[in-house]
Amino acid sequence: MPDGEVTERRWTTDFRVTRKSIRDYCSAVGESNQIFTNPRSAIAAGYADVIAPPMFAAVYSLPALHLMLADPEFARVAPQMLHAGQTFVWNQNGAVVADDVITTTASVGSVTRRRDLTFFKFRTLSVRSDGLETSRGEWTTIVREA
Amino acid sequence: MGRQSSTITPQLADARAYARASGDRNPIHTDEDAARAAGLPTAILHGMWTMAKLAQAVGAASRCDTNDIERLSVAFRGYVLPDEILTIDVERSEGAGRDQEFSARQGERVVATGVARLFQP
Repeated sequence: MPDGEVTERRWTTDFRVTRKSIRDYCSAVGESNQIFTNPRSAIAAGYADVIAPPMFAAVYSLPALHLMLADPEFARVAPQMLHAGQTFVWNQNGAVVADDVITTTASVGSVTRRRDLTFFKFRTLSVRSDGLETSRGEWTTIVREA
Repeated sequence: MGRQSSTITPQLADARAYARASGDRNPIHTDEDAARAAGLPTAILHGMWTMAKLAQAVGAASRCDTNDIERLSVAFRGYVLPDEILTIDVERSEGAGRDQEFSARQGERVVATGVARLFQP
């Protein structure tokens, strides 16, 4: 892909959120807020079930990114990519509740080259099955040409 | 401005648990031999695990929780090694400021910097 030119293609995946996937994630990162792990606490807080911590966005949006990187367009350089930066922006009204299906669409934001380095900015947009946006991500990776 | 510091010593078990929970199964995070083959000193923590810890540190420094973060932006500046103390410093804005800068280091080595924005109260 030439410098500055980005594909208009999109890669979309669905991720079903479960109580277990939230619980396993919370255990792995040490999230202790009961609204993430205890249904009664979540219901008392006004949710239908336990909700996912915001950084769970890294989990439900990852399959779309992986699908994109497995595409022949990126598959050659994907193994050399270093994850150099990450931004997430969350919708305050877009809580992710257990049993939600989150649809994530990945796209290419920009590709720039500087000397022997290529900078890729990928974007993800995630929405719930009711169409409400949950989060947006910007994933910056760097590849050093051999 | 005020600074709040916290520390944690990540373990290889954390990386393995994160790999299982997240689906990010790159072996450089879970297999020491694979990591060395990739030029790393040993298996390293996932950037997203570190980012989750940064979110928690921001929440604690702001006397809120991670759900109150609207935007989190991180530059990964170095790998996070297991069994080394990870120190996270959060610079708290006074008053109504919603942006909080933070950094993370292992020893003198800065491994991440960034900024968080909290939702409007």
